[in-house]
Amino acid sequence: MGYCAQFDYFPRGITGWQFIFDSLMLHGMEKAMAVDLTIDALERVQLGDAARRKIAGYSKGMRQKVRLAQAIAHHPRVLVLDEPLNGLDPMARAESIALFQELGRQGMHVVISSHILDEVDRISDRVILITGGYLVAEGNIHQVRQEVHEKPMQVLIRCDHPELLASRMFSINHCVEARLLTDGTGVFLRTGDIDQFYSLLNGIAAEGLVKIEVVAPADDDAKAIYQYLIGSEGSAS
Amino acid sequence: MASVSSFRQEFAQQPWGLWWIQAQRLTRIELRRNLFSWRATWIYALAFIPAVIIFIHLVAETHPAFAMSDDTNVLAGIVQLYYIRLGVFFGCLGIFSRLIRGEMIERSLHFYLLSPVRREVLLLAKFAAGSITAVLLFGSAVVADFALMYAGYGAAGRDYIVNGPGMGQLEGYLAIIVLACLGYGAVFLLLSMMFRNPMPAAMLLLGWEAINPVLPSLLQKFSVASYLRHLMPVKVASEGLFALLTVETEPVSGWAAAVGLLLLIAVVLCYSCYRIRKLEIRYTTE
Repeated sequence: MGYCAQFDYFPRGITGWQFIFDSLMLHGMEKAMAVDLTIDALERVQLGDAARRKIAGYSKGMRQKVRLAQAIAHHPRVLVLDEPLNGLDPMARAESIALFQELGRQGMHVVISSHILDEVDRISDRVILITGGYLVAEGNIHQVRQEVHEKPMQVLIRCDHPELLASRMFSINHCVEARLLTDGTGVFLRTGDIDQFYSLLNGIAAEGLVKIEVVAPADDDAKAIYQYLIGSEGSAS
Repeated sequence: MASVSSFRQEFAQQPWGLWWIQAQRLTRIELRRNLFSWRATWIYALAFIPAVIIFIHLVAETHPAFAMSDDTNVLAGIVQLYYIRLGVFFGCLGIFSRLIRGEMIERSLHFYLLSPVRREVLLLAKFAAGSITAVLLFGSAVVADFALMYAGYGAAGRDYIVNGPGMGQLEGYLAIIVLACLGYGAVFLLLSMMFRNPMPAAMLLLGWEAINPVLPSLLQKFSVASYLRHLMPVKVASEGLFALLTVETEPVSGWAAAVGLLLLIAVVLCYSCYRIRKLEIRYTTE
């Protein structure tokens, strides 16, 4: 198991190489093996060139990478990352997410604890929402959303006549809310039964009443679900 | 009987080899950080200030043979009154309180606590590293003091060291320095785990050590300096202001004093091991 803590602090005066190598040596490995694994870990996070520099001189993104390298250096099967995206600039964030996804593809179980729900959404197969120490939801994010029956789902539809589509939906007494986009290119519709909604939408499209360009769920992401379940903008783990 | 047998079996099954390797590696890592850090500069200064003063004495003054016994007493005074009471005391405070508490303040202790190393191994390795650092610094400083003190006497000085009591005295001083580093080190390591700021407790300990000679003999057993006093190869004259710090108490043999101090260190380390197993870090409150 590998663990990457959220604290952005390191033992004083240590280089990137020493940080990873020392950690591997504490596992009781032979020196040659620890050297090979250190090189491998640094290359995986693309820090090979900076390995001999002191961590104190690293950028925030590099420090995050070296912590990640330390956590994966011994090839764990499970990797736990605590707030791995905190404080990273967009570029470092994108690189980190790409790395997590790559580790996942390589067969590692990557468990991420994060308050940045938008990004959790992008990289997670499964989510566990916890508040106040209690589990409030668990599973695939879309499945979780569908199980929240008391909150109608919101769908964005981009089409040429959004007002017609909205009125049609209300006329068959299906939607509970409609909100037209200010630029007139689409409408947000809320429905209590998403399966029936898509069926009706197909029928409307087949009638040729409106020309539909895009249909996209607008609130089946982790952040929206968290807000529905917890009722606040609060934090999730 | 069965429980003793199962304990033995369990004891033998522990991964002692792995723990030994981990302890060695941790000690090496800590030594590197203790010895080659700018933060250790003041401890180097603390250790070698007497050597500088003795060097000035060597260069600036003549050394007639009859003055050798005076210099021997001065050296004994430096060891007992400076090193034991101040130099080693504050040096060990600096070295050992950094090992655990310092890393909590720098928020880097979790790397060790999360590594696959038993906490007892971590603590004992840190103690070993701190002890080696302190012994290297203060031991070499005492050797330098000793060499400089007798260098001015030429052949008479060499004769005193080789054929006289000189070498035995040096061995005695080094033994005292080693025991002092271990004793104060164990105590400060424990204090640094017990208190967020170990300095007030250290000052209380300094006061305790100062008044210890006039306390009842039972209480004297809970003092590092009282054990060391009995090991001094040259007795420091109890005159004037020094009398308070050099009060002669009930005589104790050197071996008894050394074993007593080692027992005290063992007890403190055992309790420290218990403390570190229960240790929880909350960086936000450090």
